[in-house]
Amino acid sequence: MPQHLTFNSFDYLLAFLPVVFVGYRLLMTTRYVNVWLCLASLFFYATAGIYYLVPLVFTCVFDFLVGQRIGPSSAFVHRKALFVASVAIQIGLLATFKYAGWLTAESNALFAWLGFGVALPVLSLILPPGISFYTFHTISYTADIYRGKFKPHNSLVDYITFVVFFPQLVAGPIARASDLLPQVAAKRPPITWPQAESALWLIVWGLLKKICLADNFAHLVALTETNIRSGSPSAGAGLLFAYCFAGQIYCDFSAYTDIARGSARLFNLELTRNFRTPYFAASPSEFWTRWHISLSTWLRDYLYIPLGGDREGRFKTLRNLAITMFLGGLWHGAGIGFIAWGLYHGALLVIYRVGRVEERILKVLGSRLGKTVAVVLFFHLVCVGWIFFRATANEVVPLLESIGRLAIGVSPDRQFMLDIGWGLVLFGAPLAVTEAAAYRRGVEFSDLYQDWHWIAKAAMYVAIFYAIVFFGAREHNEFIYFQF
Amino acid sequence: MNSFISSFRPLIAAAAAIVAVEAAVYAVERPDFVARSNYLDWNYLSPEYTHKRIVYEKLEDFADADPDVIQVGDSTGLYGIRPDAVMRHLGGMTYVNLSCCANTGFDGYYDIAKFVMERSRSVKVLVLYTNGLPADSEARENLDAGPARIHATFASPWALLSPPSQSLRQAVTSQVYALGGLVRPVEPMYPPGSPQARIASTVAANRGWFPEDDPRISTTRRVEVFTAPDLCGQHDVFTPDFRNDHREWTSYRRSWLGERQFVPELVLARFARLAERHQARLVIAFHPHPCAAMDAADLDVLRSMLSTLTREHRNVAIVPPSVYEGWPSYMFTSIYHVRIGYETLLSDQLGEQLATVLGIAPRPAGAAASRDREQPDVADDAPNVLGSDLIGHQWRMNGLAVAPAGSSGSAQELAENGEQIHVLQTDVSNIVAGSPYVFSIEVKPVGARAAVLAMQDADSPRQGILSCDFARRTALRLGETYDADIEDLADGWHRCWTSMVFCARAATIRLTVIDDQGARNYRGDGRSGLLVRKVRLQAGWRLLAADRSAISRPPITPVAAPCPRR
Repeated sequence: MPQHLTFNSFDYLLAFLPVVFVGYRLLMTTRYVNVWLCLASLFFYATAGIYYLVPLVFTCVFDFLVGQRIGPSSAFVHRKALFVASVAIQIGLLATFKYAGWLTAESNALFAWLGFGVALPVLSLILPPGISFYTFHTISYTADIYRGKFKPHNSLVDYITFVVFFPQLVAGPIARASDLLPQVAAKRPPITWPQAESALWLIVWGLLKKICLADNFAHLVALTETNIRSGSPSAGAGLLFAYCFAGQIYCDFSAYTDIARGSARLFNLELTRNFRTPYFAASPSEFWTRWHISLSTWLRDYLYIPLGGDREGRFKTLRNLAITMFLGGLWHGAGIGFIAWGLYHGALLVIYRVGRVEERILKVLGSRLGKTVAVVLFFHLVCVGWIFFRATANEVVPLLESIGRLAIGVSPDRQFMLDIGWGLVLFGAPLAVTEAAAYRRGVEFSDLYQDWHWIAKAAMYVAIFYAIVFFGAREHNEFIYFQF
Repeated sequence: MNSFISSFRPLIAAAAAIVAVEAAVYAVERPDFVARSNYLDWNYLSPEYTHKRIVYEKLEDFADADPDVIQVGDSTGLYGIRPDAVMRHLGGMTYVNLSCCANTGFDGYYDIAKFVMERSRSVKVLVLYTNGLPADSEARENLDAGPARIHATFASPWALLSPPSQSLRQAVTSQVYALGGLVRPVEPMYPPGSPQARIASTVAANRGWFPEDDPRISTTRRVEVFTAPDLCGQHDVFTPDFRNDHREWTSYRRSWLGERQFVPELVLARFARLAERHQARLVIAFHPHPCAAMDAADLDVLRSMLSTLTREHRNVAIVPPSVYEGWPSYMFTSIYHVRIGYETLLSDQLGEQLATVLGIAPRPAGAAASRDREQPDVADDAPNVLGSDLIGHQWRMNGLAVAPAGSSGSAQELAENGEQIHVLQTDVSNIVAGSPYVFSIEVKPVGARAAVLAMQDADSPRQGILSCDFARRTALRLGETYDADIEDLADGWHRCWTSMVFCARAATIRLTVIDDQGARNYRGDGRSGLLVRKVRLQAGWRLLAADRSAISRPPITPVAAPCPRR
């Protein structure tokens, strides 16, 4: 069994993907094309560990069968019972893998602190890669059938292909059955040359963001952590930490999405967009239409709206926002940091709504300056949230404290600021420039490619090649969202 | 225009431009495979792992050198085997030491051997020189910058895609990351006097051998370490790590068919097949151990496994024939590394063993005296170049005051004051350039204090440093030191010494008091310091142990780097 396949590996780019594509092209007019994609996707997943196929296949088959039962049933109670059972089992499975170990360990710590002589056995289960994502894929299927928005699909192969399709299986975008399953089930024409070109561009752009930007930002984050752990951190180290991690997580996650979308496009399948210049958001509600769009819309449609959304008065609206963001944070993982991050963003949503923060800024400063200030302000608020997301419990206070010391005028360590600051400029400038260009057009930077002259495109490819050759991080970091 | 061409014109044009650039780079630079590999990271503000620099320099120097014999393995061979000593026994065959470090793993040793044997078709003998056997914990992903990286860079088929411009990475990134010197100084590949430069020059000058520079542990601590259960125990018997604490074999894994396979056997068979493919012999050479014997049952299993290996693969030989050989523990710095000075003895032994295996006539008896031609130890009556065992007026002091201690007059107290740095130093001018000297001192700490001894060539940054930590009973050496030690004496006294070859006719000798955290820059409390006596600088490579009751030890054969040209 080869080592676990990742998008930023030669094994994936030059072996797996071409082989699957060739097989797809040979079989695409036959009824075995989705069998091929399904098997290829399962193989891709199994390189992480063949035993992970067990929960994956169980999830797929179980919800397929539930969908088959819900669809023809007209009895509301019966439909609801089946749906609730399906969600309970899927979420239970997810929660067991994801939270059982953490919960038992935290409970034991609490019991010890309270003086109880009780200790629960600590479960330590290895989290199957992508379980948070494929569980949401299958829940969207049963939910849409339950709500009458989608009919159950009769082909198990098509259904499993939709769930396990390798570009989006492990780290999204979270696919809705109503979006992707019809594409998978349809007889698709061969991709055109322009589609192939755009697919390759997405993959190349994603590789640059991952290898050159995200992994180098990760290294800067590690350097600031070292400074924090040294016992005498520089004033402002927390700010640099937050900026660097903001760059890392965005480049890492959006790179994965770009490569996933590009890979899917080769098979004439369109995955949903996941990002749209998120750091140019001026408010929390705008941010969540630009960041991890597939998750935020999933939570909106399957959690926030069923809770009542904003239809039941202000208090319940704010309550529903807080619950949704809390669970959104918890979805990322078992840890106080993720919960704190989710609650923090929930609080921002509430504060901005109640305080009408963006409106007040625009009113006071005018639309142009006000917008700029609102964007800069909210970007920094997001950065503070990243501290909760990324830092360990021991690091949060020193990080925030270092920002406070800078704010009150304590001089930072000059060489440290110069070192990290220059790294931030070096790897952040390309990001800032490309994001600004995309923001002005209301699209992602990768969308601008189609409008360029072919010489500009060629120059971009050459620049990306040499950026990766010279500045690409050599020790490959795992994609961040694999851990979720 | 045709849809394919209009869609892929940018990619085709880019590919053409890249090919043109790479061809130009290749024409100008002619980088070899190693130079244009991805092995070194050159990440922003990140020094490379030392072991990666060693592997890189060895492959850069020797991958295309067409040696007759190559050696791979862990650091026991890196420090323990000098090719020039081995070659004396090989009747003209050339020998190269490609050993590095345990964290490259057996997979890493294999890929290094494979890489070199595919490029240098002259290799007739592959020596796998090792202290232990591959256990079941050879997980690639567990070893930092280890076998997975070596495989990806040198053995994977994708490694062939390395473009020539990658050889310029260091030059480009050093300028960009330093902003041309505005953010920090631009660092060349081999900064003068740096560890990287030292690695490169030493590896090149010694056909891959590198002198051992392990920390030293004191006599009492040495007894604790070597008699620990996980080493020699109380009965001086070594138990290998392919058993767990319950004496169960751990080095097994299951094949696809569920068949139980012994990992060491699989790994060694892989090396045997590699050698066979290249019509070469495989010699598995086991490094001596500091324990007198190995657990008899484990040794039987090991011998049985090796016997099966040699039956199934006729090109395999095992040295020593006994498989396990115990050497006195004082010849080791740790459980693995033979102490500097004994590597020639070890290399001569390996040379003789290889000659036997290869059917090469042994060297004449008179020629075997490569081991000692000079008396390297400091003689008991060797003159003290400092002129006196006591610190006198010729020493310059900062942050310290000297006063007699006790009534005998042989000891002095160095008391620190409230300043930040606490150091005394003196200059000596009657040095024989190119000769080794030992700087030694007997010390008793007052308070939580430690000592740093330093010797420096006059008008040169070249220096040797020894940091003696009395609480932890260790001594760490840096720079150009040849050897060093820390010994426990009676009544809380210790002796620290270090040796270095001076390349100038004058030198500076320095003694610094540091706190127990290793800080040189601290505010003294006015009470702490050191008691010192027998402060000496004497000609020689090594100071024999104060405790002469130990078994007399074979003399060392010192080999040190030549003095740099001025």
